[in-house]
Amino acid sequence: MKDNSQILDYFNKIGSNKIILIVLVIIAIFFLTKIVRKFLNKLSERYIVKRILIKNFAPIISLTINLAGLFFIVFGVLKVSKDALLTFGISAGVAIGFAIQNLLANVFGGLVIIFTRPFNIGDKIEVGSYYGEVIDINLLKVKILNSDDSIVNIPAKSFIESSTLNANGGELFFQVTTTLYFPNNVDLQRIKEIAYEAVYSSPYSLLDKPIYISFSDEFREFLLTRMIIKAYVYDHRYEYGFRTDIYERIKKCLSDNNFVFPNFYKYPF
Amino acid sequence: MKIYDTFVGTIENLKILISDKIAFLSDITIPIVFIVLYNFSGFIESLKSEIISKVSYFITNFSNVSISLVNFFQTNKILLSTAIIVVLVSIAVLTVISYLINFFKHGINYFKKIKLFADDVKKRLKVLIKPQFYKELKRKFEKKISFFVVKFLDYFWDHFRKFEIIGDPHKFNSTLNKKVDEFTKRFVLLSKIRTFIKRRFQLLNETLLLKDLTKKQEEHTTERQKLLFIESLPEAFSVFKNVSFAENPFLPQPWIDEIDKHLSAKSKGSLVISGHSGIGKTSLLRYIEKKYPQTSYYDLTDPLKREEFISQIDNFEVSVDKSKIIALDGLERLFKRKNGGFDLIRKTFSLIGSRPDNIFWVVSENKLFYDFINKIIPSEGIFTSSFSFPNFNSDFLYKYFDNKITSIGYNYKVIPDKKTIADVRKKINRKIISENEILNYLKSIYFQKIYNFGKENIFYHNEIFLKSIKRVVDKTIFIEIPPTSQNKDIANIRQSYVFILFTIALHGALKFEDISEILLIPPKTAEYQLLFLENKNLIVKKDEYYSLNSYNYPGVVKMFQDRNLLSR
Repeated sequence: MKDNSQILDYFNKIGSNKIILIVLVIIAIFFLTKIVRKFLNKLSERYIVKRILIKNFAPIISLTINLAGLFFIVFGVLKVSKDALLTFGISAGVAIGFAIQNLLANVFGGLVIIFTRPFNIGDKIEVGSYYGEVIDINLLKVKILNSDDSIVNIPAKSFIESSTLNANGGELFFQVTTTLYFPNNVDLQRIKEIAYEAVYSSPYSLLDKPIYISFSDEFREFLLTRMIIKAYVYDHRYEYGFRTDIYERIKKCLSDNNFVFPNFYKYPF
Repeated sequence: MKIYDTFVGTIENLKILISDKIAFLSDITIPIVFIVLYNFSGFIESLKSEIISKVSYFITNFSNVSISLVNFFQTNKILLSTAIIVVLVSIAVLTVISYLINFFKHGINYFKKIKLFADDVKKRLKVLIKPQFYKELKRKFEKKISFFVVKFLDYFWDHFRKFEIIGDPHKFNSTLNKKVDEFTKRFVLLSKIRTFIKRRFQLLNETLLLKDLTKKQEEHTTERQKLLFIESLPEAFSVFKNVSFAENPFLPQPWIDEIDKHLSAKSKGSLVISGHSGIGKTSLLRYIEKKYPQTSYYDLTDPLKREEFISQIDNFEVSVDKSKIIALDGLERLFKRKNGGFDLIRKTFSLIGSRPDNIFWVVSENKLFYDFINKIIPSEGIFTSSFSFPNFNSDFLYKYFDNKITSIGYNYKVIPDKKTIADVRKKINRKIISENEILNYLKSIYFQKIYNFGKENIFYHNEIFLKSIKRVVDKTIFIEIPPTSQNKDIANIRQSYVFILFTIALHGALKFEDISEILLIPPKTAEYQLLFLENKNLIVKKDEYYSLNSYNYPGVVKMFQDRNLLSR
């Protein structure tokens, strides 16, 4: 009872000027975090080569600003003594802990992501059924931008519970797989040449990395030849653009060279 | 007729019958009503008396209340007025509350409206904050008056030339200024015009090359400036003109030695010369053509020469005599980055790689193309040797210009700006440099600065050097650190434009149809995008071919590196 009355006394002592100061500090933290994030974002888009590296600082800096703000409020404005903090922690901590259990789980998940770095801002990841570029990591959630250009908010705790696929592992370049189907009697050598030239010609391709082209047979109502092109794009943002570009170039080349396939849909299989 | 009469007769009979019936009905209706009324008369009577009593009661009460109210109002006037105020206020409060309820009910719309309004205001304010707005305003203003000013300048120039006030343009700053000052002090308007012209003149003479102007403007002003400035330089300065093209007498000796070493030692083989635009590849090939008479020089940048080479490519060995040097300038022009666009390069490479007897191939390639094609067809397998302009840095530039200036019998000094003076003072105080070394130190700062902007583009450096000249006194050239600035549009350019720039850089020069084909973009879109880049001064159009603007070349290459298109 004595402890509780102490805490109540303490709360009664908080004047309006302190409350105003706390509100101002919170607003300042909010804007400072926003400004820092915006600045880093702009900087990273300017120097694309260092994009992922620059963006990595964003969660750590915002966490630092938030913690600094919290410490300033607790010890600078409210001037909470260690004893009072301990008492408050013991009496109210358990209750609050139970009440915001999910929230806390997310906060710890966020902390784990920030410090263990299974992926960074700018990486392409797959979690559950979601796949896209990580655009923000904070204590509660991870924002990813998927191929439809929509933002998906994933709770931070789900990254601890489920497995995550990091497609580019902190690098800008990225391997893209393009699959094309041809009739089974296609001239493989010629098609391979066309595919190689398509990759060489694509403005998105990173030619420092190897290009793999493989063929296999596949039966889908008819016997088809499947060609898989594995090539690197210099920035994973152009994954879809690159795939479409390769596809378009190969198709255009085939039609320009009057590459006529037999009408295999009418084949008497 | 009979039938008609019968019909009419029947009708008449029917009429009579019906009217009789109706008459009968009307006859019996009235007695029935009376009978009913008679039966209910008691009830009606009671109802009537009830209504009368009620109405009379209401009227009496109403009159009583009215009389008492009038009495009350007469006796309590203040209370009445207060009551009226209270009622009015309550009505007002109720209205406000209803408005507030409405506001919160449909608040989103209000906020949307407010947000839209705020966004609009913000957008307008943002435009005002942006330096681009003022830049645009300034540019429009300049555009409008530049014609007038240049005409006026012409007049001024000719006018003063007549009176021999201007003999040498380098005296402009000293002699002319004094005389014009004296003259214009008397007239405020004239002095204002003079200040304006002076500013404009300085602008024309010093900084316009790197300004963001439209192509026409740039052509007009830079050409004008070149004519005014370069032509007025002494004859000796002709060594700075047409530098990167034929008969450049200032090719650095180490380069020449290395080229000679390759060519004199072997009768067959191949040499690839690779370097950025403006570095001197063509000059080297022209040197080879001049020094070795057995050289066949193919300028592949010229469409006719290119066609000639392409027509010979399939039976080249037959058409070439023995003991020859074949110089191919601009190999990138044989290639297009699209399916089927590698064929000519492959053929040329297989021709060079087959190493026919007594033929020495010297091929020059754009650095971007060299790096690109090397990833697809490694040059080690094709060329027996390579040359890539070693040690090209600011020291190299220093020596290059030193050699050039001393060869025309001149000396040069760098005029430091305030910042440099402060820097030099500090260094002297800290004994980093001695006072004897100041001149050389300033020179090294100057060349470091122009190297940072122009990198390996000698053409650019020559132009900048000419622009840096402030005055020439007794065969000593005074140069100032030039106000060079990077085109700010380059860094923020959209990716689709970057692809176009990279494609142009890779190929050297391209027609817009080729760009459309290579990048798989519709021709109209390609045309618009090229127009945009042309307006931004990033590319130039010459005979239907688009190529990178050499003044922005270093900046563009840096942007390619920043965007991960090129490795550093």
